[in-house]
Amino acid sequence: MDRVLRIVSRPAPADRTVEANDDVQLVASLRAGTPRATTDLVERHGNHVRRVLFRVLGAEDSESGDLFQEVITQAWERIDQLADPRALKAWLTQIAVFTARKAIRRRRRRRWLSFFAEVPETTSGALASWAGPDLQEAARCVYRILERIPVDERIPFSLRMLEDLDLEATARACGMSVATVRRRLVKAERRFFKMARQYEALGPWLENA
Amino acid sequence: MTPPPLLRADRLWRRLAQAQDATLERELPPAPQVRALRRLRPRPVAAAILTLGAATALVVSLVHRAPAPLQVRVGQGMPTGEMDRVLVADARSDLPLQFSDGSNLTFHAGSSGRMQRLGDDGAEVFLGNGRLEAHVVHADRTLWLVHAGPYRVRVTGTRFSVVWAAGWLDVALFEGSVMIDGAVLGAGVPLRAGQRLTVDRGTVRTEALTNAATLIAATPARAIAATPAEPTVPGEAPPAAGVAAGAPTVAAAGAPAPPAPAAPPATASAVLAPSAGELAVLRSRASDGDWYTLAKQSAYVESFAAAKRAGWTRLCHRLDAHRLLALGDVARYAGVRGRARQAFEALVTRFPRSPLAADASFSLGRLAFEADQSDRAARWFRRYVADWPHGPLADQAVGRLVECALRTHDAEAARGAARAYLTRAPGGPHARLARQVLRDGAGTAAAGPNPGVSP
Repeated sequence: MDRVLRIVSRPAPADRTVEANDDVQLVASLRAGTPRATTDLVERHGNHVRRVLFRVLGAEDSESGDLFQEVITQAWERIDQLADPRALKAWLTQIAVFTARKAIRRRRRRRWLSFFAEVPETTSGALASWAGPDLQEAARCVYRILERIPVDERIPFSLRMLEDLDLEATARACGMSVATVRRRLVKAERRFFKMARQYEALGPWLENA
Repeated sequence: MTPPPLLRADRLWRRLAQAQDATLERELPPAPQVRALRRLRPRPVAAAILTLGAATALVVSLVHRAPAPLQVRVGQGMPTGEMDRVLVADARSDLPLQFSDGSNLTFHAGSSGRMQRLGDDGAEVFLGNGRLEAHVVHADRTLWLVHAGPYRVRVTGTRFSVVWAAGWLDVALFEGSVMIDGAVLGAGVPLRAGQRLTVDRGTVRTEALTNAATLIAATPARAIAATPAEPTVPGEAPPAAGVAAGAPTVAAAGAPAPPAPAAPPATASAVLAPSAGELAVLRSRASDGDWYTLAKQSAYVESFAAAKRAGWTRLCHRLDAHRLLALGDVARYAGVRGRARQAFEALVTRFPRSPLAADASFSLGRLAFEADQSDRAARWFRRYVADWPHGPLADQAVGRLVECALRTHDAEAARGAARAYLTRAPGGPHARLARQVLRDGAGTAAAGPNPGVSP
């Protein structure tokens, strides 16, 4: 089997067609092993996947690049398991959430009962050009707090607050029922603001409800 | 009823999301990153526990000692940790690099490159020109990168070859999976075992490896090169004594490929890809007894078909150990795991004392491991360790046992295997994982030795 993935010098009409295709066609292309389908997937939904990872792990997480690749690889390998091709984006969100959850749990396992916590090096200053020092410090505090919140509460909380997903979308992304998500959001919110009071840098950002 | 939260932070969420989005827009599509250096951060709990006693601290400091950086032996030289070293294979011979974790890379004759990084988790190699073959030992946190021009192959335990010459990239993947990124590949193209990717003048192609005869480099050395003299009747087993006597034990996955013809860059494609005519001749000649000839030509699909025509079960009952191993590899490379298992099991059953049965046992474990049958895999790896405790793959088998136990959430077995691994190979590729298992599991289950693992 010989497949052309990408023609750079002379773009074939088929390439342009693929670019214009919707998710259903993209899924069909991925399943058929059509050339360029993988890069189309990255081009079309890569930013969304990265945004989900950013929301959950923070923009300064040095592992997010690796996790992004993991999400794309998993999607590519499991594309046959996607029941409804129209739900490609939601499915990718689920994979991203699952991958991030795995990464968080892995880190926690490593830290548990250890005398020294081995944490991924943060890409210090990732937000530097785009946010003032107060926001940078607040961002660090937020993710420091999130690290202390149970992962099944932390993820829906991050998606709800930062990605502004509604309850149903949050539940879908996390593979939970709406009722469960609602319950966990309440708990996470309570934990977050309880801890947030201890961080001076967050003071200016907190408002009375 | 819990009172609702008294605080809100809408402005914070909004600004933070905006900053993240801006960062996202600014950044190029992410390529796999070199794992960042890690730092150690003291935890509050640590301070409390440290006060319990110096003895505990001593034990912990031993557990937490940093793994030794990799060492590499270049050619026949002494092992070294030297980096940024220029590597040039002369025109007539290959230049092998043997790493302390069992991985090995071979620059083919006429090829050149540079060692860019040697870390405790892997290495980074630049292929300037020519052909590089690699076998990287699998471990959870290894990070190996091979740069070829603007492209980068990210590897986590696999066997593959890379050719880079005059803007032409050719990656053939025999085991595992890799992600290749850079230049026209953008954010990356994943490649699976049995696939080949080429980039030539901006055209990216992937194709099934099995038909492409690019497996000259991938030919399992243990199966083909280690074969003794041809038996009198092709396909029939010679006397058993001869089988055992002439059977060198070669590391299954770690064996360097047999000497391949020098591949000057300009003619690399010719060397790698025999013409369609040659393949057609091979196919047309494929009779029932020719599966082995086809296997030696790396035409695995054709070889598999010929072996099936000859009667797979019959072959499994009659072939000698060497050919059985080759038969199993043929099925494996043709992607037919069930038949591969049958051949390897026949070898193990019929020639239990042959050194090649060790390779077959490990292969059976690996097949089960790849199929997510961790229990079955663990049985084979345990058998390997029990029967061949000093075999070339024994350390790897114990390392795999740690992974099998983790997959099945068997904390006790994981700790037993981890302890056995550290006893055997304290600086090996699974050492970090083993220490992690011992550290994380300290408060959970009472650790007992895994009876199946020979320490």
